[in-house]
Amino acid sequence: MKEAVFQSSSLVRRFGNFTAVDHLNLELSKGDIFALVGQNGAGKTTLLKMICGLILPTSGSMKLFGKSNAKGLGLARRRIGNIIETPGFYSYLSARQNLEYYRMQRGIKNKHCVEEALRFVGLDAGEKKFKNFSLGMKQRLGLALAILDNPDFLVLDEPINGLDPMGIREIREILLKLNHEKGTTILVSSHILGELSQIATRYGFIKSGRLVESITAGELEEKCRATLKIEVDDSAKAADVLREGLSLPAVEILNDTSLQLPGDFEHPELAVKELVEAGVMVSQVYRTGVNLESYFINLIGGKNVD
Amino acid sequence: MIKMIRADLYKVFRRPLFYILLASMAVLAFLVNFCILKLSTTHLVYNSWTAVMLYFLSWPALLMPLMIDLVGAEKYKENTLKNDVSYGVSRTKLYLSQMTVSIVLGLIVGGVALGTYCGSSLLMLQQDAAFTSAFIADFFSKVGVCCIGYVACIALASFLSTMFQKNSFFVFAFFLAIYFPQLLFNLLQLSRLNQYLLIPQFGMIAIGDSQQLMTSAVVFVVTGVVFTVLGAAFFKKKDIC
Repeated sequence: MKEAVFQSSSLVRRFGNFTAVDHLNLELSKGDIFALVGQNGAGKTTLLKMICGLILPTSGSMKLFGKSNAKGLGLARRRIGNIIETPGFYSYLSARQNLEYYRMQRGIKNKHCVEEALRFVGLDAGEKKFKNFSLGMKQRLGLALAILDNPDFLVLDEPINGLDPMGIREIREILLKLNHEKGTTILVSSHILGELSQIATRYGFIKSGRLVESITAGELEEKCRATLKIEVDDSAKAADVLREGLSLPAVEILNDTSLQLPGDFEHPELAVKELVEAGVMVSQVYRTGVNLESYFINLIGGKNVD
Repeated sequence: MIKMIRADLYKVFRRPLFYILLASMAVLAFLVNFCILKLSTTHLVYNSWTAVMLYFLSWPALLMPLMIDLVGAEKYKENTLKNDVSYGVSRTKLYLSQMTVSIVLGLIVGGVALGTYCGSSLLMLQQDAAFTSAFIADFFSKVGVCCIGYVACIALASFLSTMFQKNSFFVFAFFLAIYFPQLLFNLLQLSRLNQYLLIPQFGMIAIGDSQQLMTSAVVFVVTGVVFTVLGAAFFKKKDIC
């Protein structure tokens, strides 16, 4: 069984009367790339801030690398790199000076880690001050800080915000490289669902502070798989007809009146002909299948989605 | 904590504002003596140093929010505090290290200002019979006790910056906190309580004896400890946004 990197149990965070995170239970295992998906104000950033110790839970508990007391959590957080909202750095320092500041503050002995991190994220800004950085450069520097101390767990809140397509691809490649080569566990939230689908191994859908569904990428793929659905008066008889007449072993009976064929079956007209000739009444034939965005919209409710 | 202090000093020593502040203080200190030389009828070191004790001891207290701005308050402004806290650094240690760096910076700025002041007065003005070693010792002991008061001001300013975060409102709150209670006590005819406030202490030090120095030091230490504890406790529970 994989090591649990993060576990939360009935985690709650309230701001006055507003409940941002509501009895949230979540577990992340080592090596996961967990995509946190939810609308604006769903509680994603609040959850990430609690993991990073920026805000304290109102109630509930959480464990990081198996530690749950205050001191243990503090030590565990040294194994976490993060980007929460926009990266913050000292405007009058260069990228190198900013990272050197954090290297000194964190007591990282490897003096080359600054250069290594900058090289890893592809940021070569020379002596340019942070205040003159583009948004993309700021994001890269944020990621460089996140990986400065070789973290085991990366918590990333909208890490590709403001990046151009090339930048997005590079960040994706960096994250995959970290995950594959170093086994870094990644928790990432983003509104760019198509991008998440290219890296995530697990998904968590969050709505009004509650985790409404947590599934693996495989399960999601299965749910989103394209299929051909046929509505008939007798699904058992229809399945036998199609299996025998068209040699289709993958016919799946969904209920008494509907059945499903693989999405790559290209001749629905042949299926209808076989069924009608065998005396089966066909009422509907249609293709189904959703992408991540449609799945998310169906799950969350469909309105106000960014 | 040493690592955090070293890192903050590394950062501040690369900040142009710090050097502008140092240079400004040195120029101001020099200008006071220059004015005494040009405008006063007596060009005596004794008079110059007495003027410091009578009029200028409380002035550095007003600069203390700048020391906070250079270290702790800047982290709110630049949105970098989250980088420190999310690394699992103890919030109490973080708070105390920021205060320590502010104190170190205050000492550096104060040292430069005082050094320039004393140096320029000794170079430009005349030393008379009243400028004795006893006078010099008295001057430096009073300045020394005032330094404890400046540290107390840093503790107060640090507490207020933690409360008001990015908002420059903390500077206004600082001036309110050091001047308003005195006015309030006078209004309520409770002026005997003024002796427990920061600003009146600087005035009392100027004209007081060694007993007064001891009393002032106690008031400063108590004020400093109270606001340090309050600030650290508040910071520990604070949401970092």
